[in-house]
Amino acid sequence: MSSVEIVWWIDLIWIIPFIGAALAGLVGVFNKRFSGFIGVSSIFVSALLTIPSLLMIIHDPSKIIVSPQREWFVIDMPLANTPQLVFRVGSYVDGLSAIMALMVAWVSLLISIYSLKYMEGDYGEHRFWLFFTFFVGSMLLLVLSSDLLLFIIGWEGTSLASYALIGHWYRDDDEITFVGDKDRKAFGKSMFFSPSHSGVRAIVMTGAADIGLLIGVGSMIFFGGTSYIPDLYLSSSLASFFRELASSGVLTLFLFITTLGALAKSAQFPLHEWLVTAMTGPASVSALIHAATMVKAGVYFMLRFSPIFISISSLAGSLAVSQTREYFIIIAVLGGFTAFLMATMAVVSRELKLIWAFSTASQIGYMFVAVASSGLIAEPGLGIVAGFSHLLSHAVFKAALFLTAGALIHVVHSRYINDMKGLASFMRITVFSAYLAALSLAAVPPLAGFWSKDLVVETAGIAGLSLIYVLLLFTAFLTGFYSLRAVGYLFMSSKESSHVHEAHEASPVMYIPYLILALSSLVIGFVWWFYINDFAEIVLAALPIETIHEIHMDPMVMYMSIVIALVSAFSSIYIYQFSKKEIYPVILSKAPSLEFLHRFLYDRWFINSIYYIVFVDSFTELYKTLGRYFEHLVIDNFYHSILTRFASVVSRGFRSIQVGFINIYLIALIIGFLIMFLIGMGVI
Amino acid sequence: MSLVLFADLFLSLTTSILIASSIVSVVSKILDVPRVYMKRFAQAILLILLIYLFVVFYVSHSYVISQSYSYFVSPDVVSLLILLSVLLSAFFVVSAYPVDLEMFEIVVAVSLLGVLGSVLIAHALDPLSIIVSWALLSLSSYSIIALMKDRYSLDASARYIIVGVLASQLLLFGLGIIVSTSVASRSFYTTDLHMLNTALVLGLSMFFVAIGFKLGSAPLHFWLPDVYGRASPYAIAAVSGFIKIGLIALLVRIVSLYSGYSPVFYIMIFLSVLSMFIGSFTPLTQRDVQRILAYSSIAQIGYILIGVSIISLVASPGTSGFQKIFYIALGGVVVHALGYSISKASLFSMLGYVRRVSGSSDLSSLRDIEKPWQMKFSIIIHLANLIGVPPLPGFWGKLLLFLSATYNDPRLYLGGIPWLAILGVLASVVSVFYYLNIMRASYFESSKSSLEKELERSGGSLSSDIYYPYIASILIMIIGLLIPLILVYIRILT
Repeated sequence: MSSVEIVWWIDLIWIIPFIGAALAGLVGVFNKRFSGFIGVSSIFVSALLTIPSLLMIIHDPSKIIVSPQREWFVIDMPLANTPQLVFRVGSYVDGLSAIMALMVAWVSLLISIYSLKYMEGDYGEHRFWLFFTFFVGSMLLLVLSSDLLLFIIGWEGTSLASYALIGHWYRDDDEITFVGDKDRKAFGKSMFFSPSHSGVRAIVMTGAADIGLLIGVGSMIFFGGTSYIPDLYLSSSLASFFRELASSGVLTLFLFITTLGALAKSAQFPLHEWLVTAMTGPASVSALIHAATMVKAGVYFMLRFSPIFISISSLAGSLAVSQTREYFIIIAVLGGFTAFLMATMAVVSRELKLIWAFSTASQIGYMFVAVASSGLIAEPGLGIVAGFSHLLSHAVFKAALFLTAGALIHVVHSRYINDMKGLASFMRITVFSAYLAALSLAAVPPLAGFWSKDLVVETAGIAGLSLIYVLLLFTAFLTGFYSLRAVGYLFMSSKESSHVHEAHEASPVMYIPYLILALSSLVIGFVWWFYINDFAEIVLAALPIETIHEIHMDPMVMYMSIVIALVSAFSSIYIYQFSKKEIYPVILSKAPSLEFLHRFLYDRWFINSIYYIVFVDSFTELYKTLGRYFEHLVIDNFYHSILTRFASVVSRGFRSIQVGFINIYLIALIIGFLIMFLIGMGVI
Repeated sequence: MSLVLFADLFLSLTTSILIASSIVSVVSKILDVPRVYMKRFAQAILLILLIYLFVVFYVSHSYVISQSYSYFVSPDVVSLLILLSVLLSAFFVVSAYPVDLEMFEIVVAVSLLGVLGSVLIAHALDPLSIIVSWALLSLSSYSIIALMKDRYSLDASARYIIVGVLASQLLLFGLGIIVSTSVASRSFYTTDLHMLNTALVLGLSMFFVAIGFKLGSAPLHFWLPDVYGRASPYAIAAVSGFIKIGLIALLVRIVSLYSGYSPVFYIMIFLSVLSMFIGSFTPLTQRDVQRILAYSSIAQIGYILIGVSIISLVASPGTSGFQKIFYIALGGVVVHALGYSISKASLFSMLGYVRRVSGSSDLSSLRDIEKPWQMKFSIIIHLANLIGVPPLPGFWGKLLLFLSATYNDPRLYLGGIPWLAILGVLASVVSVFYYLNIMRASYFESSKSSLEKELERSGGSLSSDIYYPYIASILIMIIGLLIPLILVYIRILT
């Protein structure tokens, strides 16, 4: 099939950031500034190494590059076809992972340079760099690992780093780090989230769903007989496992459970809540983890595993194929619904980072629709290419948006867009980058966002998911609207906000990275048309599905997309950018009944409250009841009352035998003799 | 080789040396020799005997119970290893005797005779030699207690004597019955062990009553809390330290002679379980340190009896596959006895000084005295040894004993007795409480008075006498670390 080349330095791409993280943590105890430099340089070296690996793939797309696979441990298995499970440590580079690693490494590098300035003087600066660099290492490990066990290790490493970085400002002492409005409650549940609380939410939601991931991946390793990813592509033992699952009718369920981890990681409904409150982290964290890389890990999972699911189920028979189709439809529905759900929340949100957070989950919904569609169309490669290209373009412009948001929030010392009115005249470069990236998000041609979103929508149409198709188009309208709304506030003139007049442009260490990212979105958009076919070939060459040599874009879809983008953009610009006052109070005065709709969307469809009431409150009651009845009455009682009383009763009882009269002792001796004699005779 | 001859003469030379030394001791009282010299002399004699013992170890390479070369005594591995405990603890006990005891020289003399009795009974094989050494042993122990000359000691020794006389009578009677059932005259051998011979069982139970009485195992233990609890701690150090230990060798020997005979097995199990439980549960609410240590002796003998029970299952020469279990059980018995004897001896010696100053051996009096840090440290080490904390010998002993009990082999009669080990562990766990009580009282002291100052005031001194228990604690730490090496070495060898 494809040739394999063994290159020794591929492992360094993910090893070096780990070493950098350890060093940064150690050095940071003595000198906080220096830990930043160590972190950035390790990411830089890593990023440099991704370039030659990609060049090698481009040179021969059907080639796979692996690092020398070192055996880690072996489990002896009583299974008939595989006597042993061997787990190896190593990397695996094909088109998909090379391009993904390149994106991850370079975007991380730009964000880390930004962070040098952004996190300067912070009380946990070295801790930030420890976890930031550790995260980059884990993400690269996830992307490049050749072994499923390593993949899971990278996956969990990113969860850990995410938890630590979301809760970075764990002291909960600055209100600007919180998410939500103070004292706001929805159905009695507070909608004001602190960094420490958000960190726990993130790791609990993603961790709970990871159970599904472990079940699925574990089963695949066990029944496939191997944990080496390329060996799973055409594994016949895995195919027979799928056949068996399909004949019991549970293949859909199995595939869905496996994907639960990815759904949570990528913040899709119903596990989307953590991403919203994850905005308590620093802006660079939001940019890196919650826009560019970690949330994309779920999509990467889908990109890597959908071809496996498709090829294995086609080997496993028609029943498997139909159940796999069902699974893909479910994923597409979830993705599409999430896209819509999140866009509605973004439209009413007042916090800048929250808008971009909702937007991220929404756009990832698009990616899930695309990858899921690949399982439903005749040319699966199209879905893969659509999803992956949207992943890449979104990563670039969303990172720019978050970084600019960080700069803007810092300058006005407020996270609300209402306080940022009129900043455009003072921070030209920042606002320019933000505007450019927002246009890309709104899918205005010729920016990158337009092309990739267009391809996604088209794929959904080909797959025949008409409801999703319509939903995606409507969501595209909402997307254009809210993204231009957010940046529109920056141009609104206002006399109220005082901070704005002290504003000054951010330092070059901060603005150069996001300027580069915003311009990249423009450049990618320009060259997209020319390179998309080569891109498709590189990505699909080593995957077990057919390569696509030419991508056709349906002109109808393109026209519709352009119209939607321009209409939404212009309406938003009219309402926000060129207006002198805010529109919401005006609407409210005209139609008071819309207030409930606003509250419904602002409080995130009350989903958060529902979760807290159903899950958190029930368990709280459970543990309180258990505490009262079991812990206190049974366990404490046993150890502190019953056991002690038993011991002292027995002790005093035995002591009372010691009467002190020698006659009794003599009699006891005789009785003892009698008992021993009887025991010896076997009577007792 | 002359060394071999030297070893063969071990028993006779030891006997003569000890008798001579006790005579010397009595003479020194008459001649008014300074007591310190007598003490050093006794210590030197015991050290010489220890060295002699090591020479014998070196010479006798075989570690199996050898054919006895006489009808009367059998210097085999069991007796030699038990003698190690006897001589070591005797050394520490005699070293810790305060020189201003009223009858110091006589006490030393009687102690040396007690050592002799222990040596002899450890080697005894024949009913007659048992009786002779028993007499020497018992009389020495009664005398040591009585010689301390305070009201409580006389009370204690009177109790001991009265119950002891009954036990000795049972011993004689039992031995007589056993001998009458045996094939050869004046020996223990009997050919038919599969039939339930009533007379034999009767005799054996009387015999075991006597030994159990002396060892302090339940249900024959009633004298022990009173005697150990009231007598002067120095005397009890002697009694529990070396006088009891020789009997363990005798018990192992007799039990192994009758191994496979179920009545013996049942009796041993009964004694073991009852001792462990009474010894663990009774002192939980006890406040007198001496009585707590008395009950602890009962419990420790209970653990040793676990090993003896296993030996009673597996020691018969016919069963070849069980050699390993036998060695584990024997190792457990010996190691545990070693740890027990040294620690009990040291604890009672140190307690003697405390009681002298404060007048009582209550936990509160232990707490209210400010002790030198070495004393606190060695109290804790010795108590830890009794609890069974690794790497001290108490732990290794318990480990080997429980290991032998859990050896689950279907060829074994009853298939092994793992539940006995479980009970042992339970008893150990419960007993930790009262050891910790003593540790807490001795460590967290309230410095109302200082041991050293009080002693000086009453005319005594804490001079070099008190250092021996400290040395003992360091010694058992070293022994504890060496034991696993020795165990491995032995396994390799055999």
